[in-house]
Amino acid sequence: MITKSYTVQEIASKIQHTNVNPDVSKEDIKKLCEDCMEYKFDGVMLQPCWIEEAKAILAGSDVKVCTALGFPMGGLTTASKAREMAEVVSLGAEQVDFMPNFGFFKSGMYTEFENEVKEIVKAADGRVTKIMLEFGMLTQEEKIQAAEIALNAGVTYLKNSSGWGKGGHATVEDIQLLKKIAGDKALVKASGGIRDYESASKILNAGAVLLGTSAGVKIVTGSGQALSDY
Amino acid sequence: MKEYSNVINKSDPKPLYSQIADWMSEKISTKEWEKNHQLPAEEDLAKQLDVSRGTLRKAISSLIKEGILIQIQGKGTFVAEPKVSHPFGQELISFAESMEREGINFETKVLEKQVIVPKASVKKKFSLTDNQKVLYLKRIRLIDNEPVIVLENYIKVDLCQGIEYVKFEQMPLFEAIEKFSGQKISFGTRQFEARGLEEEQAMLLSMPIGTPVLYLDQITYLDELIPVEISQVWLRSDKYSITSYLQRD
Repeated sequence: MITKSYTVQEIASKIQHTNVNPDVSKEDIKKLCEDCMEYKFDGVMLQPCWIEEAKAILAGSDVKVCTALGFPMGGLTTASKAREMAEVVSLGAEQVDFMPNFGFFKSGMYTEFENEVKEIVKAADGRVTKIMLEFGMLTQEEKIQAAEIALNAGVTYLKNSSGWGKGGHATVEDIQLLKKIAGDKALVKASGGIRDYESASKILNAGAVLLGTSAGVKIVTGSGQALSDY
Repeated sequence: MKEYSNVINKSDPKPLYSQIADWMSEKISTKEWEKNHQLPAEEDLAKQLDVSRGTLRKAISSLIKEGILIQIQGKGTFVAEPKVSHPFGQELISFAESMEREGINFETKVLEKQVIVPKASVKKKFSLTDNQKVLYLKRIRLIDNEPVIVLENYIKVDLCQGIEYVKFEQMPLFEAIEKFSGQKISFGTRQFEARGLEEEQAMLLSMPIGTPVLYLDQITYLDELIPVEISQVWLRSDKYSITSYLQRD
């Protein structure tokens, strides 16, 4: 495999700088957004209640405002998720990472699982959607099956994990698998455990085009602390 | 004027356009309207059916989508030439793809899926080294709960790493090969034979031993002439016909 070496700036442009901690403060959100502008990250990822705040801070910049939906458990009803999607879209979220229902999936309720993904994608009304596939909870067969269902349901991105709880960390093998399944029909976002230049570079080489991480500043400056374990 | 007004039953819950489409399909299948028959002008036909032109157009466009009617700009709407049924004999498409094209609902059961060192005949066909492994798949395809096809496939796993984890009940084999090899299937060869069912296949197809079936041997290649899959297939020839459309230049 040909390995591309990325400049720090190239890596920065793939990072969605993330803080979805439950105790994040307004001050933290301000800093998160300012870091995005300073280091030229692709986007900021935060909980839905901070979308308007972030839109105001980032007005006029190229940083995308992204949010996480149905997060972190994915157990809301399909109707709630669709309403939540409609609301975050109306608030101005440009990209939405969402939790599907792995309870349905693990119960063999594949039709319900797929229908929910379709409802969420429909409610996104053309916005970029990214499904969090929580690979940490799935067998190898289930990974392929869940990713296939998501692809058929029309998501924009396949994402290996939310990076939270049992979702698991990004591995080169998992990102290569997602890239194979996605082909030219979807893109791949990686998250979980991407905490330095080296791991970011490996994951991009495996086929991801976006990185979700709370260690964006650490990755591009080589110093500092991650904002969470994500 | 409204000579076809009894075609539509307004108390029928079926949409008007689909009632009209059914009526037209009937006329075509009974040959009352033969191939190349020209339909009356839209305005006249809508009046005769006592429906709006919009409803009539919807019916026509649904039949155009199905390939039953064709529209020629400036000339009108005509009954299309009938299509070839199963292009399986001439185009490299899988059974699943061929059935999907025909709109046939089918189910796939995976009876065996394992990575093995294959038997000598397979090794020879694939030119495998002694310990080189393949993914062995044994599947049956059912139409209306009736088994009609038995398939045994051998896939080179080193060309499609990870393919052994695919659930083949859901993903067609050719699609899986292309995804996991990262290459396009370029061509294949198929050899057709008439055979009598042997015990194992007879049991799987629920038919007496010796029943004549169509047997085929297939080799599928990726770009650069690399064989990636070989298979043996038994088809119930009373249920599944294969058509080739051949044109003489």
